[in-house]
Amino acid sequence: MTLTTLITLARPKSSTDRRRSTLLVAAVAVAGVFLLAGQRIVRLGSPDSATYSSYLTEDGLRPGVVTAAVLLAAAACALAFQALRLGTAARDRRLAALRLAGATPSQVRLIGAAEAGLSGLFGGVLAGPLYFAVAAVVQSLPQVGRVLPAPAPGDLAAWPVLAVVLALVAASSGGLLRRQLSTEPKIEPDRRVWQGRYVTIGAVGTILVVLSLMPHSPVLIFVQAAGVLLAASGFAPVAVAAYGRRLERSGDPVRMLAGGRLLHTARSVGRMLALLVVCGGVVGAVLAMGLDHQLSERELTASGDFIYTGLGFVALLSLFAALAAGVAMLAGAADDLLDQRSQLAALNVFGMGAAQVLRSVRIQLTGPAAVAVGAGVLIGGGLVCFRQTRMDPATDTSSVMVFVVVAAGVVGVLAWLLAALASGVLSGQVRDAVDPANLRTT
Amino acid sequence: MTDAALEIQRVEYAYRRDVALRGVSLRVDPGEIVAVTGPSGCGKSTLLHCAAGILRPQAGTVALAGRNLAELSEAERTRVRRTQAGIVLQFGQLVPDLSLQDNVALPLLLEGHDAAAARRAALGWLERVGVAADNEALPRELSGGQNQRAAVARALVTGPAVVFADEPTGSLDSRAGEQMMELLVSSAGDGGAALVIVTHDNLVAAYADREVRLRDGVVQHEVRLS
Repeated sequence: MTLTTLITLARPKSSTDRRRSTLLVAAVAVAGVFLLAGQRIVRLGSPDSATYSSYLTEDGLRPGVVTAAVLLAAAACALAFQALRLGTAARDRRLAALRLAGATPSQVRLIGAAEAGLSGLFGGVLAGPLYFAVAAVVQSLPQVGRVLPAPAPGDLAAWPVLAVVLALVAASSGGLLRRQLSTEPKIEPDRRVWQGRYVTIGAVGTILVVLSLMPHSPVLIFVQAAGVLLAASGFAPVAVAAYGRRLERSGDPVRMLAGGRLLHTARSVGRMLALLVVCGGVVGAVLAMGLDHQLSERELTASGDFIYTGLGFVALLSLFAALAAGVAMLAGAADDLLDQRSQLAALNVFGMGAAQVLRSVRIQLTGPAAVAVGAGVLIGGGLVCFRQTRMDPATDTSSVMVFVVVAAGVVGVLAWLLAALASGVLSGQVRDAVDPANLRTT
Repeated sequence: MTDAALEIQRVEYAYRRDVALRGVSLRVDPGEIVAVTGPSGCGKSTLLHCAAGILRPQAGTVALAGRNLAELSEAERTRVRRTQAGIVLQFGQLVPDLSLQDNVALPLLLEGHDAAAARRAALGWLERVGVAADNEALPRELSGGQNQRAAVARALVTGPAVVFADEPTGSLDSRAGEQMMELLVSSAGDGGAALVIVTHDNLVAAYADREVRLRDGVVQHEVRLS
């Protein structure tokens, strides 16, 4: 296969392919921005304490900012991976047709790798100008908010290297996703088997969290956070499957459709919900810390500006991660609509029109997202209150906890509204999916 | 209007600049089996979609079970289609995330029937088409033939006046196709429904009482087969 043929086969063919590529390029670009920021902070040396925020100038805090940048890059990468999986069924059929036309498995993997690699390269190239723009904006903030140094000549050298690395990582992922491509129908793993594995992961996470709450526990706060992530990653898919099963048995066609979808996408939806739980947890923890400082009469160990700027950044960044998870869920729902268009067109014949299908998509997105974010706020706030009480048994955190509970409800409702609004974005895709023209598609 | 199960008069339909139907008329009596045949692109599927109320013809009238579809609102048309028209498509087009039983129950649930009663009726139809043992299975876990059997059950569960089948054996091998046609003809006959089959397969058309051959959007000829 010549390079020209490879690029021709790898280029986006349909509007859906182009949308997927755009999402992939955007996600890779955002990940690149955070990684460029991380490497810049690592190379900062001894910064001028009069220019930058204490978060950069204090040796003990700088690694935390780098960790946050890397974690956010990971969230953007998760979105990129989700984008890479979009349209998988339709593209698998196209690539299976190539197999029938004589392409070897390695050629098919190469096409998958080229598809992803090209998008990864574009994203990496785009990351440079975006990073320089963000760094310039951060320099215009007051000193306490300058958590990103001014760009340096070294960034110009790091940018192309990063672009190539991102392209290679994307290409490897694209190739890996094609590794099991077969003309045989896919067999889904037994639900009881995967649920057992996920419950085990959830239990390990829960044990870590419980250990961290014991008096004189040696478990660090980062391990506690990892425990919450593990517990959420383990239990969320199982909870999604249970909710899907409940909807499927409701007897209401709209809810049945949403339930069936949730039941069979429980693992991917669950992963995104776990991210939402963690984001909610960060918001809950930040809220509880802020309220605790406000309501208690304890002396602050640092300036209020310093603390609230930090808390604000953490909340803002967790919002970004939550948005990434939300976009990934939305993209997954859009992909399902495309993949099931002939079945949805057939349902339209039986009287389930675009409005009802859109309602089922809304049910699929709103309930799980609202519960995940709300539960996260409760968990994060609750853990902070518990920790505060353990450190100082005389502290009364009941009023903080009341605020946290109210906030969990409010944030949950906001997440529900946001998800409902976001599902409206899919109305065009729903109308396309139920179009009778799709009745002849496979 | 008439006592015909389906009456189509001078129907015209065009997709932008491509004219698919040029004044086609067709009458189908209750219990009658009609095969609509013709080469690819002659307008067979468009005729079926107009007859079933999926597409609105740009000229002419379609009366399904005595109701003129042109006079009905979108909601009324949907209701008539759901209760009076059963549809079987080439690939079954079952919802992949729902069990066979739920797929068959869907038209009844959309009609507002009680969930338990709808599922019982669905199971009854799955028994009649021979896939009751797989009622909890998902479509992707079964063969194309089993899926098509469930699609027949879904088409008949509401007791329609007319069953429309668009290339119902197109995705099946010859043996499964033969079984499928026998099932479709006997099931529609048991329910007293007329059957309109769109096909380019002469073996399938041979099951019909009458063959209507289309060419370039017009009826080329009609042949009574039995």
